[in-house]
Amino acid sequence: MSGAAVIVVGATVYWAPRPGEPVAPSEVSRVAAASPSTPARVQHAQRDPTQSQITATPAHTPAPSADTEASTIEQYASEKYQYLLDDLRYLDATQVEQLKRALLARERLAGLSSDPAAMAAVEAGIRGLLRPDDYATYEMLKESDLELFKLNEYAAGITNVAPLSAADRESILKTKLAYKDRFHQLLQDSGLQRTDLSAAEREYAYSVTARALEGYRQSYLQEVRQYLTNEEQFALLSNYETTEFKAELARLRSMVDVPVQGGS
Amino acid sequence: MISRILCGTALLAFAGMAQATISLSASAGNSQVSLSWSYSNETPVTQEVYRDTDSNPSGRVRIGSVSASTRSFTATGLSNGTTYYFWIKNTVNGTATNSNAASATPAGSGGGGGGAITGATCSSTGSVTVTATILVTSGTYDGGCRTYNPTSALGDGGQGEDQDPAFRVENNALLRNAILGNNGVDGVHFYNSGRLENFRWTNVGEDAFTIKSGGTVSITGVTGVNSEDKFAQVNAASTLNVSNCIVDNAGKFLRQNGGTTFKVTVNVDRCRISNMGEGIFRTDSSTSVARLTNSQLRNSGTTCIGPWASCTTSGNTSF
Repeated sequence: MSGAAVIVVGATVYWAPRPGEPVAPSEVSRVAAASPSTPARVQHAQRDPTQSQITATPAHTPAPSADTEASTIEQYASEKYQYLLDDLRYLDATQVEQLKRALLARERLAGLSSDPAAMAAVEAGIRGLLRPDDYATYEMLKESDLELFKLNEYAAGITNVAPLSAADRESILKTKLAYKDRFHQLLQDSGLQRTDLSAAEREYAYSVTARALEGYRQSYLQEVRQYLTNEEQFALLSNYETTEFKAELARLRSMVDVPVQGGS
Repeated sequence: MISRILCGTALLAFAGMAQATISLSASAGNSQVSLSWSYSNETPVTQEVYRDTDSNPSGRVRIGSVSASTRSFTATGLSNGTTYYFWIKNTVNGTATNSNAASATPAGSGGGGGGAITGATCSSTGSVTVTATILVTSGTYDGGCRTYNPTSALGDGGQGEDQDPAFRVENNALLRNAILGNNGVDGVHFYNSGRLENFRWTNVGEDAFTIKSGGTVSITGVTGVNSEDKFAQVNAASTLNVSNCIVDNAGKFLRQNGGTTFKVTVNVDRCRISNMGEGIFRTDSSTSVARLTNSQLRNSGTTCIGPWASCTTSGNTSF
């Protein structure tokens, strides 16, 4: 039992956020999901095959408090849903707090424990509080982890050259998310992610998706061009995104080149 | 909290339930990592792929979702020379299982074995005049393959020690896709770790880059020519990883600051090094360590100069 104790204490440290770590993308929610009442935390402690690494963690290493975890996830959710929370004048203070709690719960659920029923309940609560257009904003923002991460990377990289205003950031993120939604729909329709396509069908699906990705990049950047008045901001955004889109295209290509393996 | 987890662990252990595991392995390629995995005692349903640059899952980024029958994934667009960690997360009826963390360090293809060493691949897309050092203190600065031309305000690109750098990279920030023009001034300075990818010095000035304070500096896909003295200068205890580089015509590839005794660890892999007036690695420290692997050498002088604690080579060829 003492061995198990070492494993579990170690696991608690291993999955916890590091002090001073910058606001992280979606996986912050996963860490926060590991609250005492979350069964998924138990699953990790049992199932993670890195347990041998975990046991190497000194048992006396202090685990971060639940308060620290809650604070981290709260900070992340606050940033992620900032553009939703900024403009909800029709809600009173109590409703705003209710919404924040629901968003926090959503982020927790989106992490380790993806419980569809619980998520549906949380989303129903959010829907009940928001007007349809704001709920649409919520729908857009809830899948924005990677885009937010990239925006932060780009914004941090240019902060000493041409810093972005809050309005610039909002315009960039919202524009990108709007075009991303369209692209993702097309990606789904293309069938590229299916496993039963022939080589020729995969190649065709790739060509369709590649065109859509380029359309996504161009449309997004053209629209953002209207919002960014600083030439260097736009030039550096274009540079950054072009590199990232190239990487995404290469990833899509790999889905065609690498045969899908079946079975377990 | 711990008591509850222990309780859960104990209950399952006593019940004799087989543990579900996902065994993930990763293999590095050129700017990409190929993942493959298998399951024990669990049926894959919703599979997601995550990536990070350290082994702590906190802060990892989801890079893909794959169908239930998929057992492989290729992560692309990665930085050669950077170690990446990956996980597969499978969710079944609301219960998530994570794989082990599998790590790999992508690297440029080829090397001494005859494959291609590309160095920087940028062709200039325009020019930028640099009147003051560009600070990259966090995040990613992507130059878009523009040519950065420092003015004389930063220096003249000669051997003067008082010149300013064109770029200063700090705190593990990433500078990528840029060309430094003919006035190379004092190149790139690194403070407290940093990363450099796809960067070309058209005419190295005082030196191509300098590590000014401790940390880990990772450099990949770079080309630098015509350093009258050294290509790399290391002024602080640090680790330097260089891969896929082309360096031609310099006094030496790397110089640890003269007379210093701190430890520097240098790993140079898959580089083409030619026409070194003196040699490749030079130090005065008996604690420093250097490795040169899978590289192509021509007229490169003495590989290890000074009292290195260890200075090893393997897989290198002449060209």
